[in-house]
Amino acid sequence: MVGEFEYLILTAAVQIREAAYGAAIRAKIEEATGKHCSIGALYTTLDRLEKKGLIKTHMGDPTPERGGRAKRLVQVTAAGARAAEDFYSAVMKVTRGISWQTIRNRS
Amino acid sequence: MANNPKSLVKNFATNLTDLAARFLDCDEREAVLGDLAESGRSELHNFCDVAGLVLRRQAVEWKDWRPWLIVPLLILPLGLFLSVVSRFTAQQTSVYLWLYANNPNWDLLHNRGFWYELGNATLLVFAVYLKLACWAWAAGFVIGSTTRKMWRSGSFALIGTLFASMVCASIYLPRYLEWVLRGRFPQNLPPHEDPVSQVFFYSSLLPIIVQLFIVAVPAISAMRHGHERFPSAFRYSMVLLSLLVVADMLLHNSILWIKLCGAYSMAPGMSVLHPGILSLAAYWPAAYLLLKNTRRQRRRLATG
Repeated sequence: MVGEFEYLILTAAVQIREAAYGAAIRAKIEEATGKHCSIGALYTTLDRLEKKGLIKTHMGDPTPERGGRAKRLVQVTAAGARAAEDFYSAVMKVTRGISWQTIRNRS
Repeated sequence: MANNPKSLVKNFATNLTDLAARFLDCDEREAVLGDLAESGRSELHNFCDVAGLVLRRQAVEWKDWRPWLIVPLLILPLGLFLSVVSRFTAQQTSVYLWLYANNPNWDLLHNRGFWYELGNATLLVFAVYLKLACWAWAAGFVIGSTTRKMWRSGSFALIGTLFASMVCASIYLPRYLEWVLRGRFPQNLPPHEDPVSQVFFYSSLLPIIVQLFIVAVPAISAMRHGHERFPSAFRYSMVLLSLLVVADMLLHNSILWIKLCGAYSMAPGMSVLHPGILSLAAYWPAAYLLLKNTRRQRRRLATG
């Protein structure tokens, strides 16, 4: 099973589709969570996901807006999609019947 | 404006980020620096991001058993020994530098013997420093070739050892010197009140300059060279030749690790001019780098 941050990366990469790469995934995660996402956490997690076979990455062409530097493009594999789905279902299952708002109001 | 303090700080932070990014693999460096350029965040922020990634990569390397074996058995001893040799070489050559730089006598300029002696001293100091740089380069190449898969840990360990030994030299060196000299002069230790070591430049600055530019720079550049991809036969030959240079360093400075007594125990560093095939062959890294750079220049000129 993937972890929470791995799930966020997989989901962000799927949403961005073909153009998924480091900076775009990072921006998407920061937008969703409202928290800073460090390059270190992002790239080490991308490596881990690639080792697990959940994503595939390759170097793209250099672009001028990046100072002529290439992107590391990310593509989610079928195994990655399955792992993300498993994580999502587990979260949904464990959350079923819970109303966080009620608990927050109670305390 | 280039002189604006803000732009100076920005440039400094950019250089720091680039320096930190050198510890990343080529493709990753490209992707990360591109992402940072796109993000438009402050240079300091970018530096923290890259440094964080480098530290994480470093932590991953230490999960393997190799750094635990190679760092204490190869990098620490070689780094420390290089550091001590560099200190002793600086100490020995400082006598010649002091003799000519701090004692000017204009009358001697008309003396042919003075020029002859000056030529000899210049050649000796140059040869000694060149040999030290060759030793450092060869040690760096051996370390670089051995630590190819864990090059970040290797680089950090070598830089750390050289830096730590440079900073701690005032503590360890007098004790070390005493240990070495007790082997040669078991009865009475010579006094440390020579006029050269009274000059701040020779006692404190010169050893740091030598260790930084004649040891650390060649060693780290050779380490990076050692990580490069070469055909196996070429790599093995280079490693073997580098090991010979390291052996030459250990032999010529044996006084620093074996307590030799007697007439043969020359001052370390100065003994590099001791004739011998190994001693002469130990200059090969200088010839190799000269040849490599000449070829590169020619290729550049050919491609325009």
